Amino acid sequence: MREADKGRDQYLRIYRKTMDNSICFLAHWELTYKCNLGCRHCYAAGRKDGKEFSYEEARPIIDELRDMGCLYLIFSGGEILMRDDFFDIASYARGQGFALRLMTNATLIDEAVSEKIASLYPLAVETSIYAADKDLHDAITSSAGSFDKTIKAARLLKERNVRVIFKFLIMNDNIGEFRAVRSLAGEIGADFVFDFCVVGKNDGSKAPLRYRLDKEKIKDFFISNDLPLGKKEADDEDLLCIAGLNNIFITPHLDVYPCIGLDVKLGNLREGSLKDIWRSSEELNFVRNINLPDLPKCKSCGLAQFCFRCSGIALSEDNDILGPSNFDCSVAAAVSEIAAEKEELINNGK
Amino acid sequence: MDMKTRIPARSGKTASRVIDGEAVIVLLDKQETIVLSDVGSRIWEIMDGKKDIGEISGAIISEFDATHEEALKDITEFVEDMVQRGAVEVK
Repeated sequence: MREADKGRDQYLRIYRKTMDNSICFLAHWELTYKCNLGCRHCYAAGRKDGKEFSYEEARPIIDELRDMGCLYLIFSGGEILMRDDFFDIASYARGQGFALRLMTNATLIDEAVSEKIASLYPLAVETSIYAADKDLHDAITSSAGSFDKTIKAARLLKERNVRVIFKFLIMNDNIGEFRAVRSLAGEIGADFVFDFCVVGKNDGSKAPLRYRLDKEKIKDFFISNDLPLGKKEADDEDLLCIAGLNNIFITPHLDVYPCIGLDVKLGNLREGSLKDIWRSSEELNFVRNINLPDLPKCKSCGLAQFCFRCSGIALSEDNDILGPSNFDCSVAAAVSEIAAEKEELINNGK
Repeated sequence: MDMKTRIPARSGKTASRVIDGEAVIVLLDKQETIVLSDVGSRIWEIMDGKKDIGEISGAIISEFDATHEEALKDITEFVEDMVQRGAVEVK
C-alpha cells in the first residue's frame, strides 16, 4: 500500500469515527445575510429582522467548536466580505487551528483582499459562476459587472496559489452554458462542480423553484454531456443524509440547525451553549437517527441506488421529513432510466 | 547543533485537531491530511513553539515509559519527518 493510500484510509477511519461517535467535525457558519448582489434564485431571503452576531460573540463560539473537536469551518453568507470584521473572525479561527472554506461571490476581492485571503491558507474559495456569457451571469445576479469582478478575483486568487472552485448551478436558462463555464474554469485553473438543486427561499417562498430543471431536462443534460451517473455502492444504499451526524449549521442570528437545508431549529447560541445543543437537543437526535427503515415509502423504493434524498427538501417541499423528496425522486428516476438505457445498449452489443 | 535545544513549532500552513488521541493535520497548501500515531499525536499536542525538544522529550518519557535516549531519537525523527512534510518549522 502506498503512503498516500494509507493516509487516506486513516483519514476516512477518523471521519467515520466522527460520524459514529457524534463528534462535531465540521461547522457551516453563515456570517451575514447582507449581500451586494441580488441573485434572483437565492434562498437567503428571509430572517433578516434579527441582530447579526458580533466578533465578541463569535470568539467563544469558535473556542467551543475547537473544544468539541471541530476541524473544518465553512464561512458563507449573504456575502462574507460585507462584514467589516470578516478577517478578524477568520484570523481568530485560523489561530484556533481551523481549516477554512470560504463561499463568496468574490466581487469585493481586489489585490489587497486576495493577499489577505491567501494568508489564511483556505482549503478553497468557492464562488458561483452562472454563465460564461457575462450578460446572462449579470442578469442572474441582477448586478451589472459582477461577472468581470468575479473572474478577476478568481485570477488574483489563483496567482496567490489559492484553490478556487467554480460552482455552476444549472437552471432552465443557463443549462446551455455548462461546457463554456467548465472550459472557463479550466482556463483559469479553477476546479469545477455543478448542481441542479435550486431550493426555495428560507422565508418559505417557492419562487426560485421555477428555475429548476424537470426530470426530462435533467436526463437530457446527463446524456448530451455524457456525464458519469451518480450511483451508490451496494454498501452505501442505506446511507441517508449526514445532517447533524458530525456537522452543524449556524446562522448570522446564532440560530443552530442540523444543516443549511433542514429547517429544524435546534436552539440559539445567545440562549445556550453549542455543546448543550449538540449533546441534548431532542430534534437533533431525531434527525441523526433517521434510517432507511424509518422512511415508509423510500425503504422499498427501487431507485435507492440512484437516490441522494435530502431530508430538508422532503420537509420544505413535501411537508414530511420522513417522506420522499419528490425532486430527488425525479433526479433518481432520470439517472436510473439513463443507466437502464446504457445497459440495454451494452447487452445488445452496441 | 544540539537537537535538544531546537524548538519545533507547528507550521502556519497547517490546521489540526486531536480526535480521541489521534491528531489529524491538514497541510493546507498541499491539500493533504496526515493522521498521527499516539506518540506522534502527543508530541504534536505538546509542541507549542516554546518548548525545545529536550523539554518535549521529558514529557514523553513520563507518559510513554520510554528511556531518555529512545524518546530523544523518536522525537528527533518525528520532527525531521514533519519538517520534510511541511507541517513543522524548527527554530
